[in-house]
Amino acid sequence: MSTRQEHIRNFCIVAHIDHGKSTLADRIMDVTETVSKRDQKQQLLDSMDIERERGITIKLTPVKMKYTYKGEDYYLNLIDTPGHVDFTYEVSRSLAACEGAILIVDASQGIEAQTLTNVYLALDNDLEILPVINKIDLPSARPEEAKQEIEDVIGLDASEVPLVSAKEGINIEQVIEQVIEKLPHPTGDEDKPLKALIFDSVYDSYKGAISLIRVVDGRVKAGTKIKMFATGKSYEVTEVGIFNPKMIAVDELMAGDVGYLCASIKNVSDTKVGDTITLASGGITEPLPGYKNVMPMVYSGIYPADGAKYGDLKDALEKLQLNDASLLYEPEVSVALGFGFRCGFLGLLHMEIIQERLEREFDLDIITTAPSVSYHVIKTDGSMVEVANPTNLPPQSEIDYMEEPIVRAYLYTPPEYVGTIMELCQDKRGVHIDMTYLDTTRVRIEYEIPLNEIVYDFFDSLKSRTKGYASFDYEIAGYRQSSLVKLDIMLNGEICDALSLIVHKDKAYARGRSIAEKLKEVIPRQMFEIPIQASVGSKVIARETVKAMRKDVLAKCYGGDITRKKKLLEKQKEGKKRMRQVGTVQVPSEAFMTILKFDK
Amino acid sequence: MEKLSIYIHIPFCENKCKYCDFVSFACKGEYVEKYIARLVQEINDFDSSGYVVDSIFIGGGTPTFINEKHIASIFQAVKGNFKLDLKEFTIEGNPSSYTQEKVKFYKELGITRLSVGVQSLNDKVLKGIGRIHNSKQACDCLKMLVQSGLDINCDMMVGLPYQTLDIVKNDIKKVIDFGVKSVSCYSLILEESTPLYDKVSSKQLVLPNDDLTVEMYDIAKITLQKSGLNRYEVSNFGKPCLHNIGYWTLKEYVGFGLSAHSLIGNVRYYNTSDLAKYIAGSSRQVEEVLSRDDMIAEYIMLALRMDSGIDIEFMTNKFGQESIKKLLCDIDNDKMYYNITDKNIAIKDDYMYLSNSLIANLI
Repeated sequence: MSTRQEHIRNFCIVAHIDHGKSTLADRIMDVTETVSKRDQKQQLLDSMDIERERGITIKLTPVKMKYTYKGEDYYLNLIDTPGHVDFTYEVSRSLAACEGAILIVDASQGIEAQTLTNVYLALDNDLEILPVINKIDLPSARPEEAKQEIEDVIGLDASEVPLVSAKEGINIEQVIEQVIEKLPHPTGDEDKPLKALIFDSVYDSYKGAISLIRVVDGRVKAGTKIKMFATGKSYEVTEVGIFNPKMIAVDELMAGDVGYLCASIKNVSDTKVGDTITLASGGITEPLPGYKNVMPMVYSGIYPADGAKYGDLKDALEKLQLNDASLLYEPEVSVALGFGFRCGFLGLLHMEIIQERLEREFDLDIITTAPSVSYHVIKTDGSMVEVANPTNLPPQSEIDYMEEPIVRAYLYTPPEYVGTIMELCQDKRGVHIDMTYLDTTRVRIEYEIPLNEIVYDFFDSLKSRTKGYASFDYEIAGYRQSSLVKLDIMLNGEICDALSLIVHKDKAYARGRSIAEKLKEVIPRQMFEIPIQASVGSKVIARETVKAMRKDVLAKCYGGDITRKKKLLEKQKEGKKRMRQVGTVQVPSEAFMTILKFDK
Repeated sequence: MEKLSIYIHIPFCENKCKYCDFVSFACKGEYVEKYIARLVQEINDFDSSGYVVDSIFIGGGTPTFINEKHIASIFQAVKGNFKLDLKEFTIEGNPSSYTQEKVKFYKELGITRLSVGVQSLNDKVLKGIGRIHNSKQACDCLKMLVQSGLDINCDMMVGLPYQTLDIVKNDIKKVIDFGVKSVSCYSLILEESTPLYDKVSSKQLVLPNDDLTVEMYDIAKITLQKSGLNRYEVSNFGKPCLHNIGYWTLKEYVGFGLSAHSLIGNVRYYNTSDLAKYIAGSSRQVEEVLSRDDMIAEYIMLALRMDSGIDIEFMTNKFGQESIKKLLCDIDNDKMYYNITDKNIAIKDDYMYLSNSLIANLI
């Protein structure tokens, strides 16, 4: 072990969304003069537009900073972590790259859902936790209460907790000094064979897939022949470097260092987050623990609104996947929507982000089908199939029973909303597990709820019932047998596959009725009357009718009007292109989205 | 010699109606003289060789609002430049500007058809759309016009604020009882940038919904047909207007005046709709050169508005056998909405009011 490593600290910041993680990171970078003032954009570490708008971090950016303390130079590697539950695995991997974590507690909000989730993750990874109380500049700040919470809820000594304001730049030096004083330094062996953890990967059109790594043991430089444990593939390293926060090439990365590695890897799926890198020959035999292949939890069909744009959608998904190995997609054909993709996401936020990026960055008009989860279907012959697209459900006669994924949901709320939240959870088939008063102003409620209820309108309902005051986290708790049925929607007697859903049998009637009502609003009147029917099996459970259209002519059509009339007809024809043909019925694209809309 | 129709636009009105988005101006008397001078010049400048004019239509605006001597100078200019073989000569006006003297003058000038914008015979309905005449004036006018012995066309509207099925039925009956032999019945199209649009948007006025409007139209249609005024186009009943039929059968026409359009050969032209520019001598602009396919599409679009529909012989002569074959092929999915014979392809009566949806599948 070298004195070099004694001068390195690898740490991350964990916090509830909005508690000032990115701002604190920025201030630490200011104090260490990592970024010149001129280059500063607000919240440097969040590089994607969507991240900045939503105030969340999706992609991780590590940064190497230098700080002189008691006459000695220290190198501080700050690894940013995603702040959302969808990315829990990514968080766990970036925590695994650190020895310590700064825990931000909001001076007025106290400890929140994600704070705790992240604390437990950090403890799981044996990290030393350094609590910091932020936003002390706010009039509502209650630092003493926050300190008490840290001691009571987490069980950490809070006597020396720095009271900071990241926004105002108050007490930032104290945080940095405590990082140096209190967080352990790395203790790898530079002379052992290479052992490095990939905690993230990004795609660069020139350099290919770039692995963000933490070197645990050994060393790596350009020319080193390496091997990935998960894929077994070997590469020759072309470049290693650090982030300041821009990429800067260096000669070598050694045990304890955080940086990046390029090796002409074409695809990010070959640099799997959590994988271990070693030498191609004479390397270690046991990888680092904790790697897992991330599985999507939420699925949805994505189709181009204009069928001719299938190729563009495919290219866009390919490009997104370059940077996001957790996005899965495979081609799928729908009778109603034509060619598209069934996509798998880590969670609802991940799904929204992908959809938004397809629309914004690739300028695509897309139709998304209702989010679904993956069901286990146990057939009468004893075999099990996983079904993520309701259309693929085997015939009822072949199904013995079905299982659905259940989540453990943690809801944090002011006490006045406990009643309405419990009502919501019951309505969503939740099973009450526990309720704890964290203090006089906040309650933690724990429920087990089927994931398919969560993916429907749980977030929106929760927000509207609690005026946004409640927060919510969940983790997968396993599969459970359940009475599920396939709800079909028929338009003029024909099933529209893109509108089918798998729902609990007690919910089928209400959902069927609500979908039929919504469709009635969005399907335009046509030459003939259109019955809209919701059915389970052969039983119709709801019916609405779109009356036949009566009139669409332009009153007059004389000399000067002919050009105008022609343009109107052409516009009408263009409009038809955006419609999908379901049997004899023209269905506008937005009809497929209406079933996603939140029911009040 | 090619047959040609002439349209002349008079963009002046006593008052602008609340639903109107045509190019017209309330009064602006000071421009009338200059406008007529420019109009005469435009008529004189047209190369009329090879054409014989069989129909003239003076529309607006309110042509009957301006002094009849202007109408005479316009007609003098037309006579001076064009070979005439007139089968129909129409002027448009409203009940408050037709006078006994004017009608007598028009008749002597050679006008054969008087069109009058009555729209409704119910005072509340008339007020709602901002017409300046009332029911009594309209009735008196119709009586007087019919007495002139000329062909009278009466414009009526459905789908208006305050209108009911009974009002429509009674109005149409009255018009027929006066002896009118030609009626145009339009449903109101709410155009943006009209005062009526604003009133409806702000919910000060309520329009009948589409279903009720269609019922109004149907009751008008039935009432007219019972009296022998059969429909020959979506909005037109009784004795056919040759001039309008020209538009629907790709006949060449030239439009003179502000914002007037022309179809000469396969080229569509338009005039500026800026009054000052027009008076200053702005000339006709090419709007569109129609390809053979464009012409076919236009013919289909226009002919299907008529009860007689597409004339198979006409279309074969003009565009060849292939054009009919293709049309029948395109229609195949919607066959149930058409009457198809050896001579004609027409939209069935019940679906006439849905012709846009059908035509959009064909062009």
